[in-house]
Amino acid sequence: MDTARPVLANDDGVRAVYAAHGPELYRFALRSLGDRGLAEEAVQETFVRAWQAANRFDDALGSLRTWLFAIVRNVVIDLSRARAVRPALASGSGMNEPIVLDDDVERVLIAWQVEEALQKLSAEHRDALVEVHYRARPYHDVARELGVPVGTVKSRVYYALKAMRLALEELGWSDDV
Amino acid sequence: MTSDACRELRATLGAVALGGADPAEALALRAHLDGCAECRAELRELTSVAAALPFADPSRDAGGLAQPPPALGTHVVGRLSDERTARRAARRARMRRRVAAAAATAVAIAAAVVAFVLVVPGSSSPGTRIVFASRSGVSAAATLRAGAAGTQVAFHVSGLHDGDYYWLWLTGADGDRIAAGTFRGTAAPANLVMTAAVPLADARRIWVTDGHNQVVLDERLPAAA
Repeated sequence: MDTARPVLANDDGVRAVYAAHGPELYRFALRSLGDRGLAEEAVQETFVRAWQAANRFDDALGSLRTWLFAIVRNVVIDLSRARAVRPALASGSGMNEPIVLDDDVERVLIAWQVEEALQKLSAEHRDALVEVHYRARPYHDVARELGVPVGTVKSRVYYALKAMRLALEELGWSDDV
Repeated sequence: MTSDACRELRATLGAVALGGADPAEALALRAHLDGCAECRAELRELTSVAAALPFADPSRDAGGLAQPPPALGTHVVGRLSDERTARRAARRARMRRRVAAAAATAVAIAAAVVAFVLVVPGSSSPGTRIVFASRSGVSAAATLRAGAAGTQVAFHVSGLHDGDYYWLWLTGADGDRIAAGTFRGTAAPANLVMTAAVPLADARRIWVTDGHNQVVLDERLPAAA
């Protein structure tokens, strides 16, 4: 017997699945489509398609989250095609950069997963990683600024990467390339 | 197994994975890695995380994770509830059609009676609600009411191409298509009210075409709903 159909078959079930996965689906859609209204639409459409295809959901093959993300990926592609828009990642920042290509969706998915995982780090770990990696600052400078030994900064970076790995795996990230 | 040497060198693993370790440190680690499968595995794991980092822009979420509008959950619940209702209505309609096939003559008379009943209450009736199956990002719902001039269609649609023009059609029981009118696609979801010169009781199909005569939305109406 399928799992999602009973889960999405009544209002309480829909509420529970939305509470567990809705905000993540929304953030991914927003990251991909760059438009709040479209992102909301994408989440609604994802739930409708999930409900319509619920008998094809096989619990043994993966989690409900994995399945919902497979659907929202297609919804994002459809929505951006429907609006006949330009590729997103080409220009760097900000909103209103919707996407078309499947490859782009994959890249946005990874970008979103990494950004989401970064937010799940403790402030100390995140700051260490952002300073050292994204701002490319020497360990010594960061240590001096924070008033801690260099070894402490290094160990924060180490634990940040380990925590990132766990958070990414929870978000369905996989590195088998 | 994890030794003191492992523990001591672990902190270096992060720096090495990110490619920013001192040469001396990296050298010491390399010597250790040759003999320690566990640390090698750990370095591999951290390196693949490090490889994913450049995809992200950490300044994007500076204000924390964006939260969806509070009403979105309610909308999702409502939308699925609508879909369930539409599916049940479609099932009932299929059932009705089966019954109709079994007793065609009797139902023909009954349909005439139903048509009469439906036309009389006019636009004050709750109407027939249709939720369209989404197609390539276009989603829509319609409420059909019997009116003096034909069938009034209250149409809610989103996901159409901004600026393109579209036709809304009803098909009557005789198979003829009757236009309810034309409208332009808008970026924002739109609400339209149009009328097609066909009695609601005779309407069998509601559909939308684009400027290239491609069907973008299409639903059957429950017979004499």
